Amino acid sequence: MKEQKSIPITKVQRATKFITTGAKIGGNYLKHYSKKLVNPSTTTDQLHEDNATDIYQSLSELKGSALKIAQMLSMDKNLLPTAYQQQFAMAQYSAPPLSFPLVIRTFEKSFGKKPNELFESFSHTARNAASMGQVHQATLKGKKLAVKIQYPGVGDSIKSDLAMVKPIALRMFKLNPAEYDEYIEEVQIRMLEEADYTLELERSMNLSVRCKGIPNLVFPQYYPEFSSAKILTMDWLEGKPLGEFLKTETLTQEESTRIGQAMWDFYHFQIHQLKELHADPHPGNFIITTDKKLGIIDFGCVKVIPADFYPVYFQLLGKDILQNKPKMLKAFYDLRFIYEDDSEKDKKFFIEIFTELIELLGRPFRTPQFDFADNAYFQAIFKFGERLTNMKELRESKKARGAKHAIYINRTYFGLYNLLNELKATVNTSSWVPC
Amino acid sequence: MLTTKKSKKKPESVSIAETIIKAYREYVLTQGKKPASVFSFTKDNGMKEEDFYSYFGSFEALERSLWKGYIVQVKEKLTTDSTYISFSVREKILAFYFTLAEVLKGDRSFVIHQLKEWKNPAKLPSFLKGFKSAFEEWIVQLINEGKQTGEIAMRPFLDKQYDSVFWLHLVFILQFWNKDDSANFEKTDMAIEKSVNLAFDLIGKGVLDNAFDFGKFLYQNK
Repeated sequence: MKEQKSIPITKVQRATKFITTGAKIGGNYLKHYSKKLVNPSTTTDQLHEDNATDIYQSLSELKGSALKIAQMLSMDKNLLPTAYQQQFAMAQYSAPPLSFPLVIRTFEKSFGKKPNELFESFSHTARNAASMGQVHQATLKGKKLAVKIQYPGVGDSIKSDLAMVKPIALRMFKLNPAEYDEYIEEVQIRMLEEADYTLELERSMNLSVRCKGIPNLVFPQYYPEFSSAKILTMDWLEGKPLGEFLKTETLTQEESTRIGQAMWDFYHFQIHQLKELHADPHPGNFIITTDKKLGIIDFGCVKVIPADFYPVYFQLLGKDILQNKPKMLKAFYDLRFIYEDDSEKDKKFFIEIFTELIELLGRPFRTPQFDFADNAYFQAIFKFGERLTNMKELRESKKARGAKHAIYINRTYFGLYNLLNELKATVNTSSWVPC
Repeated sequence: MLTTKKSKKKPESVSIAETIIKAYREYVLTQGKKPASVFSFTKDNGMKEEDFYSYFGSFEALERSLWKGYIVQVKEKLTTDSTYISFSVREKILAFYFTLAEVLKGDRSFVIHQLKEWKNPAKLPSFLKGFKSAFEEWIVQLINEGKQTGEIAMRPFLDKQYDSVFWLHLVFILQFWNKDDSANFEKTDMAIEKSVNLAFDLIGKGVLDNAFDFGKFLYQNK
């Protein structure tokens, strides 16, 4: 991994970074319009691609929360043109590493000892980047360990970063301010939790024990004695991160189905049995182990599903929801897709949109098996997402549509679908039903 | 932890010097000011005045020695660490600042009290003189090492100033730490990491050299 030579230092500099990005994006639009004047058939693809590259470059030079936002937005595929996705999906892999002396310093602050006093060996450079930290490899008693070290000050910068991202996110992702604030409030809570490795340790140990029964999953063992608020130590899983694996190797149909099913079961067991879930289905958070099982390594982001929210949300996945109009309408009101005081025109408009959304996103649940390798299905989702982004009515609506608890669950589903698509897995989708 | 001036004193004399410094530090911190005279100071501590003078010429000399002791202590910690030798120059400098922050933490009240005396940034207070020269001696070695490894670019005229630039950098870190109220001085760690990275961007081969090279080309070919 190449170390980034410099990082924007102060809040002012980071803010300037965003402003220059804003200016560049303006430039991209200009470029687009002038191209369009010459050649009317120019599509918006190139424009999106240009914008995505600029935003991505700007965000990837930051650490911590801004980087996380890049990832978050990349997860919400339904809201983003495909061009952004490819750029943002890389975000996790390009955080610049911390210097080794700072790693040592973090150890001394946590344990009063240097890494080489705690472990038999400790890698000088980071082996992997995580969005809020980096992973070093250590050995102890012949066992390989993964030691995650957090960037200092991540917690402090979350709030100011989120505030700075706001203007650009509003413009770029065409979100309306009401929606954005609710979105960000929920994101901020989750991110502050993610910056707390003590909490992550607790959750990792808890969830990995409870999910142990699911076949073809591998969980690392965690080591509280080598963990602190800034350091998290677990077993090193042999294999490759999922994203990297798929770029360099291929799975047989049998293997991809096995891994895909394990992933599906992992999520649905958590959603329906535990009512709390690993809400960060990013390709960097999974390992394809050498024996082709699914290793799960990051419980930083966990969403607890509130008891009263569960039935409201999952009624949407009922098999008869599309046929049962009154039931669907009730669900729409419950989830604040539509409001009682909306105008008739608005109501009609939003009901249509959300019906289409439910039909599209709930499709895998309405058949016993679903082939996630079906690219036509994903194209339909992207197209729909693009249409949504460009809908004036949606953008200009002053109300937040959708419940805030749904943000991370939606995000999890989009991430899950996307990973299953990349795995080209056919999954038995009827193994878990809402209860 | 402390060294007296380069003298050939017997080992037990070091501990007497230490005792004097400790008593002085305590006096300053509890009274909030310097002792009125060496006479009153030694009397209060049950020492002979001449004992004091056999180690330090004045309170100022004592302070200089005390501050220089911080740098000496950091150097000792670093050179006895087995991994330090394998570090790049950038990492060595980072390790130096991190260790210094740790050493100063143990003496924070006194350090902050002393830094209050430093009102005119252009004028180096007397207590920092030994601290500065010890630092410069160390940084010059590292700069030379960096030039050999290629981490630091050789630039005519300019690179003669690097040691004083690094001194200003250290002053910046000292001031930052002085005002840092974050838990565990985490923000100082960040300031160190980020500013050293930036410094190495500036003194490494890069934009500056290319700009200069291009300027020279234009000048010669106009």
